[in-house]
Amino acid sequence: MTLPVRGRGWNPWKELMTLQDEVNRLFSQALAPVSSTALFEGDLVPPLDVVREGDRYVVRVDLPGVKREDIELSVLNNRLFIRGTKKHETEAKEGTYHRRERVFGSFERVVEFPDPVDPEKISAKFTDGVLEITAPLREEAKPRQIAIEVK
Amino acid sequence: MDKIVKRNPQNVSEQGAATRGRRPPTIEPPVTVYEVDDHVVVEIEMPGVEKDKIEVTLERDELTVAGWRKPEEDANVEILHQERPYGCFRRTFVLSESLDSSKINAVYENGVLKLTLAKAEAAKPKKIAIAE
Repeated sequence: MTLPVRGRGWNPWKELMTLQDEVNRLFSQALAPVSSTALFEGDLVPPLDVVREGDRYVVRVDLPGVKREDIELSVLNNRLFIRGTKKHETEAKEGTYHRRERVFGSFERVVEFPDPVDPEKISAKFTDGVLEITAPLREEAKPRQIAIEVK
Repeated sequence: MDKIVKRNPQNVSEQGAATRGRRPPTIEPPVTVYEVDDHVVVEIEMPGVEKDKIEVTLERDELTVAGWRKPEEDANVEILHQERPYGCFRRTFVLSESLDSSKINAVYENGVLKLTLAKAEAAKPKKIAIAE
């Protein structure tokens, strides 16, 4: 094992700073804006995108084969909770499967919006197995252009 | 049943990765295949692909399902987090001779394409009456 090469001798402060960076990185990962509750591989974690389109956030979640009535949406403290169950309604019996790649079960995803959204104005639609949630920013969070009068 | 197993371990088996490798990177959507009495069902997850952008083609015994999902291109849109795949969804299957390729039915609902393939007459289970 080789020792890391340091520029001008050993700097304990630098070492500490690196440690701090490392701790910060860990925390920022743990507090990432998007989280899921999957603990094990093979659990259902529907993939999602978060984009900002001007004065609103748009969240899109892939939920193929999930029924509209099996999706539950709620918002609390600027966090969006997407929960539901993906059921396999099929006439297939055990032992008749040739391939089983689709994953079923319950899921939960949480999205924390960086800027405050208006919970009253959040809307959602479900098309072709994609859930699209539109969350407009609160009035006070919207970027404003202020014209400065030139005298 | 035996006939199906003899020809192919799976009624609907997939083509080798070698042929897929030459194409531009594609999304391999998850597939579930099962048998029900006189037919075989293939379910393919293709969320966000419009119905008219899905192509199901049969070339000899090769059944290909493809669909396209276009990426975010609007310059005014700021992507904050991205997990969903974009591009071409594609899966290819080789049908066994125990299936009747002239009887393929496709339905797209809630982002899942469901193909129903009828078994050929010879492969269908026959009920045998037991004499009293």
